[in-house]
Order: sequence, then C-alpha cells, then structure tokens
Amino acid sequence: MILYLIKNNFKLMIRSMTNIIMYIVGPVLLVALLSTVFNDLMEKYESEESISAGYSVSAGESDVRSLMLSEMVRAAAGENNMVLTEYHTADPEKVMLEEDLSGFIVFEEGGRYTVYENGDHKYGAKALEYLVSSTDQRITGYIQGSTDVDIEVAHPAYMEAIDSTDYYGIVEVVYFGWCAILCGTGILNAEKKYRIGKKLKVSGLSETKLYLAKFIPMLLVVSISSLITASATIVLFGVHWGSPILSALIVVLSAAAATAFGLMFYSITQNSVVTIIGVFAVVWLAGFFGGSFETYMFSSHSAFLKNISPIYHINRSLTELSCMGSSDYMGSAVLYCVMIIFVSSFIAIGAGDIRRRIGK
Amino acid sequence: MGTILKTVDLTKKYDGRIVVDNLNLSIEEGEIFGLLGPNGAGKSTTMNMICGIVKPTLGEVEFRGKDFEKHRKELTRELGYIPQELAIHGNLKAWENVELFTSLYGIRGAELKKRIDESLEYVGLLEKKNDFARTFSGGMKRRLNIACAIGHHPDLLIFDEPTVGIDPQSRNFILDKIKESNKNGATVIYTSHYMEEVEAICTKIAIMDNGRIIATGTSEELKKMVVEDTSSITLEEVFLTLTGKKLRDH
Repeated sequence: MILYLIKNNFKLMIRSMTNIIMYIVGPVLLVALLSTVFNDLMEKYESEESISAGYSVSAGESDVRSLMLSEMVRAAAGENNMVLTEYHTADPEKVMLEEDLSGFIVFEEGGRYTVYENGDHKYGAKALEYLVSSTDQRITGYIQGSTDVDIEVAHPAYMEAIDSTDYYGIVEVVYFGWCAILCGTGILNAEKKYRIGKKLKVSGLSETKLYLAKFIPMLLVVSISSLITASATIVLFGVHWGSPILSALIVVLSAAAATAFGLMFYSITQNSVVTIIGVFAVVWLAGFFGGSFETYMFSSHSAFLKNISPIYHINRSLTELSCMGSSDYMGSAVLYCVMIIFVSSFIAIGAGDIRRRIGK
Repeated sequence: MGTILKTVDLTKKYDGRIVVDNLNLSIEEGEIFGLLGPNGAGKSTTMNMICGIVKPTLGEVEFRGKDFEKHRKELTRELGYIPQELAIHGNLKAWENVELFTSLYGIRGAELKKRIDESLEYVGLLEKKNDFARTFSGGMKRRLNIACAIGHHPDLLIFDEPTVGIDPQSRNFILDKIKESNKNGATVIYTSHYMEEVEAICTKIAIMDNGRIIATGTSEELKKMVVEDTSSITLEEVFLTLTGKKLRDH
C-alpha cells in the first residue's frame, strides 16, 4: 500500500539538486580539504618486513627488575621476528644511525629504560617502543598477580596505522550521513505547507506507515549517496575502506540511525528549521567528540565524552576496519545505531499518534 | 436513498475551548451538501473529524451506519477529500501525483494506470500527464488536486473551498465536474465562502456558527427563515442575517 508512496517520495528526494550537493559533492570536497591539511600529522606507518633494533644494559647485575625486563624483551622480540642485538656503547643514538637500526633500548637502573627511535623506520621504532612498554606492563602485572598483557608486534594495538586521506575519507562520509534530515526537508515542508500530510491521513494510513513512507526513501537516498561518495573516495583519493561489506553495513546502519533521529526531532517540533538547527547541533557535538574534525586518536577529549558519542563508535569501527581489518568497536557501533533507530522511531510514531488524538 | 453520513453529538475541544459543539448532521446519499459558516465557525474541524484526521472529543461520525473510527480502514476508501490547499507535489509529474494518492487505497498495477488516466482525463489534464505540477497554472493545479482525490472512486466527495483564487473558466469547469460527479452517484459535501456557488450547486445547505448548526435546509427554505418573499433576498444576505455582520478575527 505504501510502496508507491515510498517510490514517489524517493523520486522527490533524488530530483533535488540540494541533496546531490549535500551528500555527494560536499563530503568529497571536505575529504580532499581535510586530508590535505592533516596529511603531515598523520603520516602513514607502513609495516616493514623485518625489524632490527639494538640494546644495551647499564643496570647492575643485582638489579633484578631491569634484568628481568631485558630478558623478557629479548624473548618477546624473538617471538615477534624482531632482531635484537646487544651493543656496548655510551652513545646508543650514534650506533642506531650507523647500523640503520629501527631503534635502541637502554635498560637502566631500577627497571627504567629509554627507547631511541629512528625517524627513518617509524613503524619499527613504534613497534619496539610498544614491545618494551608492553613487556614492562607484563612484569608489573606479574608482580601484582596478573599476566593479562598481550604483545603482538605484527599487528600492534598501540595506534591505528591510518593516514589522513583514509581517516577523513571515512569519517566525513559518516558525518554527512548524520545530516540525513536535510534530504527529507523538501517533502516535510511540502507536506506541511500544502497539507499533503493531512490528505495522506485521510487515506487511513497508520502513523507507522506514514513514518516508514518517509524513513525508507530517506534511508535509501542517504545510503546510496554515502556509498557513491565512499566509492568516489576510493577512486579519487585511494581511500581504504577495509572490509567492504562490513564497512557498508555500518555506513547504512549509521544512515538509518541518523534518519530515524532526524524524523523523531521533526515529529516532535513539526518545524523543519528548528529540526535542522537542533539535529545539526547534536550531530556537530557528537562529531566533535567522535573525531569527525580532530582525529579521535590525538584528541584530548575525555574518554567518557567520546564513548557517549555514537559517531565515535562508528568512526572508530570503520577506521579500525580500514587499517586493522577488524574492530572491537563494531559491536558498540551496531548497538548504538540499532538503539537509536528503535527509540527514535518509537518516539516519532508516538508523537504523530498523540498529535492526531489531540487534533493538531 | 439512505443516510450516507451522520454525526452524533460530535464535539471537539481544544485546551478546554469548544470548537464544535454537539453537532448533529445528516447527509443523504446523492445530495450536494453545502456547509457554510464564517471563519472560526468550526467547519474545518468538522471536516477534519469527518475525514478522520482529528479524533472527536465526544460523539461520533457514522458512515452508512458504521462508526467511522472503528471501521476507519474500510470506510476511508469511500471518501475523497479535496483540501483547500493545493495538496500536490510540484516536483512530481501530474500522473505521479495522481499515482501517489490513488495508490494509498490499495489500487495497483494495470488498474492503477487505468485510474490515473481516467482521473486526469476527467479534469482535462490527460495531455499534460507527463508535465511537472510546478509548471501548471493555478487552475490546472486545482484540477490536479481534484484528480488526486477521485482515482479510487469514492462515494463521498468532500470539497473544502475548491475554487479559491482561480479564473472564472476554471471555476465553472470545477463546478460542472462536481455536478457531473453527483449525477454519476457521488454524494458531495461542499464548503465555500462564495454564496452564489453554493446556491447554484447545493441541494441542501447548513449554516454553522460557534460550533453549532444554526440553520439547515434548501436555499429556498433558508431564505424563508428570514423573509417571506424569497426573490427579494440573496443567500449571502440570509447568511449575514443569521450569523451577524460582526467581523470574525480568528
């Protein structure tokens, strides 16, 4: 019964030039801009086939903690195909550069250590630093009765190896998707101004059907636009999206959550200007804490603020899918989206029903 | 011919203010029923309750003896509503507009295509079926507005001021079509501020004020309520005599 309504609402949305500019041209331009601006900040860490590093022990033989640390680092390096060679030198930095090592560790008194990193081998240097700090954590954990520290240098968890093009290519598609309500404003305004909504209600359509007749075409337009934009970022900028199916699933779910959220806002306010301002304010805040403008890896926002932003979970899961192939944030991103879809839809339909009852 | 629509003690309150007050209307099948009233009299709210857009605070609407609210899904198919506003999408073609509204009543496929052409032909817009509604003149938009409401062949047509702001030719065309629909068996409820239109097409007229029906009858019967010699008075004068000349700033 509502298939034709959905079809015609869809036609109305794709015939709008504003929607094409907003959802396809806008993100592509922003990706180009932001990825260029932040290119130096986020130089990509390319993995190296083998990592060679040096070390020296300046701690005395009675320093059990330092000896334990150096022993365990050597063992962990061996397990992770890292070549660790001992040098007796007072100038570790010079040795590191002369021998073209990724880095150099000096085990000092009291379990302290210094890691020298070679700028020509950023990935190897970071991996070495990660290996030592993780081993140190493991020793601390062992002393405190816990051994739950994983060290995996091949796929280090210390930071995502992602460059600015990939990062902004992903997060801007998500951010624009969250402005989904814009693509429906033409229809919402027409329904209000010309009383089309009133005429639709005369046909006896339930509030749920009336809601779906807007939700489905809006979701289709935003999803298709986002997927076209994502494809454009691949072709134009070489953005890596990781697993295409999982990434597409999250992008579509994110668009569905954004659509439901926008419609809920409109259903309550019945005013498209107030809705756009309200939705954009909420989305901007969620994007601000969620890494849409400043990368979440380098931001100084509290973990709490990041975690309450659905956009953070979506950005992080997509970013990690891109650079690591998997993400622990997939679950929370999906859960956030599903929750927003159901709660917002329920409120939107309920508000419409209440309005009909009171006759407004 | 029986009663097609009846309102029983129909009442609507907004924030404690009574807008429609115990309204009892009875519309017979085959009638063109004119509902008149000054601004704020409660006509639109009554129409909205009859169409099921607004739920009554008290009372009920009966359609062919059935409670409209309880049998809404079944009964809305019998109802065609032509609002005062041009309830059409400018960015849809004429046929797409008719498709959108006709399909809401479960009509699809080949039958839907047939009904679209039928409706557009009825209002003289078949040749313009592939044109976008935004390119239409005011009169054409009014006709398209009607085409959108008749595709599902309703038994009761509700026209809410369908001739506002159009040229005499378009007005004449629309009035002729209303009479033609009535001849073909449709019952019509018609509201307008143009008294001569109401007098020309309506078989029964009700005048509403302050949420109540203050007079009902044919044009002649209403005139007789005011003067003996009906040739000396117009419907507009009757209306002003019954509702008063005080401005209604609603």
